[in-house]
Amino acid sequence: MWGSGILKGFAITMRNMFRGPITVMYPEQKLTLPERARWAVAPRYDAEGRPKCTACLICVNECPDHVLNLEVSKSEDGAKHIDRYVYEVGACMMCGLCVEACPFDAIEMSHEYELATRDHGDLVRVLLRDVDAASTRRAKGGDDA
Amino acid sequence: MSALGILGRFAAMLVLLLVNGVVLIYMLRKVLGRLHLRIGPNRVGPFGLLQTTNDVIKLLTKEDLRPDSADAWLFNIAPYLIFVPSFMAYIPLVFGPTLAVTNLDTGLLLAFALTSLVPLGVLMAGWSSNSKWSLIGGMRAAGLQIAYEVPLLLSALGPVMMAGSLDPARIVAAQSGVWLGFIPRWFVIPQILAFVVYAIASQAETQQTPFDMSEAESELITGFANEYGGMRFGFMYLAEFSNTFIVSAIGTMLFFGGWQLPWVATPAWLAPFVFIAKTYTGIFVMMWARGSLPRFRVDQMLSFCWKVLIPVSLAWVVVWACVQRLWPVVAMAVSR
Amino acid sequence: MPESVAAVPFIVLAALAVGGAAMVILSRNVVHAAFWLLEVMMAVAGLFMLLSAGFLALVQMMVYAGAVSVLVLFTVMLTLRRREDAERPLDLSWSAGLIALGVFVAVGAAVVSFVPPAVMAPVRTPGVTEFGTQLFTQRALPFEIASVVLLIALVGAVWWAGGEDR
Ligand code: SF4
Ligand code: SF4
Repeated sequence: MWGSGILKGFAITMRNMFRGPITVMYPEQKLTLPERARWAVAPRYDAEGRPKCTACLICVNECPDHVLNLEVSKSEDGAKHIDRYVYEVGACMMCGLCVEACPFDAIEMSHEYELATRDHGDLVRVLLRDVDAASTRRAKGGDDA
Repeated sequence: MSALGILGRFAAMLVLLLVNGVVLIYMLRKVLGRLHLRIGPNRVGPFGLLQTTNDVIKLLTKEDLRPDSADAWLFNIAPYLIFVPSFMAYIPLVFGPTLAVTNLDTGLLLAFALTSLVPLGVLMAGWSSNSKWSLIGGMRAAGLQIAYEVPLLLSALGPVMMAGSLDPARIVAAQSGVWLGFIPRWFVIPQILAFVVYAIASQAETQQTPFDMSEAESELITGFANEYGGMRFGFMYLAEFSNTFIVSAIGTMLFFGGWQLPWVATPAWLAPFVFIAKTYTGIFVMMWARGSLPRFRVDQMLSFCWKVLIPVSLAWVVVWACVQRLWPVVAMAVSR
Repeated sequence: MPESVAAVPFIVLAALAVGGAAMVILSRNVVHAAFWLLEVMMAVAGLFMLLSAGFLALVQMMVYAGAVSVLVLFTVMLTLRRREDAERPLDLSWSAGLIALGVFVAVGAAVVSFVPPAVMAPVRTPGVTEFGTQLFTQRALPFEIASVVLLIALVGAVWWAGGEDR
């Protein structure tokens, strides 16, 4: 019938009216994120609480947005030391390529999604600061190899 | 009527308009929210009740800007040209057996004449803003309003013929009592076709979705009101809501027995409440349509009006005139 | 009060009507002129109101102010290619002056030679009902002629806009 679509539309909205809102009152209530949700990149640590990053720089090269940056210093014996692992969360698109590329499973896509901030500086994060790379530790003592 | 009486009535109209505006904005947000499975305003005050009052304060205190290349005179006048007719249109409303601003035997015509002035203000605002979006909005409003005024008036003719008067008070009075012992004598029952035309045309006349071509949020931002800010914008906004109230109130008077309750006699003190309740039910239906239907295209709307609504309402006027003339003859012949 | 109307409102409305009419020709901007025309129509509606012709006033408001002037504005705005085109220069040529003079003489002669018909002013202002009855019984012929004229105009407009295959 001509116009029946309009009546159907009216019926749907009226049914909505009686179904009640499905809104989740956000700051008070929160939905649980699905397991594979991808939010800010975060470093992973081993059982002793030391970062698993080996400073191989694969993630740095992989990131399409160039938002990851590792400042690494090398000693004469080739041991790597991570000065700073800088992550510009404000420019990250949460694509997860860095996590997929990391051969050592040293970073992850965390579930931290409340990323709004009042300070511009907070958009650049230092994930790791002044630690030995995991490869160096392995070469030195092999305590967790 | 003394000068004081006139002033008092105008003050009452103004209060009604303002309260109505605040209530309607809150209602619109809540109703649209619920229709879309949302909650609507709920942060400011209990149930978000203070949201609209806060909005009013915001509009009142906001800077009143005028674009440099706008046509200063017309730009300044336009909001009032939109506001004043919709304010004056409260004059012919009949709130109860003795409660009305004034008694005019052409009251209905006055209401329609006043609402027909709205597109002028819209056109003025659209042109003087010197902005493409505003101008497009204004032109759309004018083209639309010219078209939809015709079916609006024609659809009102059915009830007018039944009541034999243009006086809203008499139209309402003609709808008291019952037909066949149990059907309330509301004109909507024989005039259902006219009522449908009236409902569609009034939705277009007040420029509400699905006919909000002149505002068209998604394509023209707010159309004709684009360059306005502060209380000037507030006036336009208020006029829009007050027009909604007025077309709904006129529809109530024409088709749903105005202030009268069905079946039982209405005490005078209850009449205004019945009238307001009926009017708000009408407004709710308009909002329901607003929340259910997507916007039409301009050409669809115009051809719908000229090719469907106007022929239908014209034909209905002719048919009903014949029915009303012939009915006594037929009834007499049958009873003999 | 059919014989005399209140002086102050009449003077105000008349001044508004005449002044507005002057502004229609004097304002250089076509859109402004159209809005002045609207103002004239409203003032005339007010004059009707003053003469207790409420119905006529409302019809004047609805048809002339509400519809005709919207159409005038609509066409003016549609035909303006640029906003600057709205400003027209003052035409001071001889031909324009002659036409204006001719119109002035014609209208002036009509006004001077006008003799008000000797009708008794009704004791009571007739309402809409009397008006309608008169219109459709005694004045049915002029009424129908007017509607036929309008119909012809309508058909003509449709024919004109009909395009190639007419
Ligand atoms: S998630 Fe994508 S954009 Fe963000 S740091 Fe990793 S690779 Fe770069
Ligand atoms: S996070 Fe992974 S890929 Fe990036 S430098 Fe460390 S070990 Fe290499």
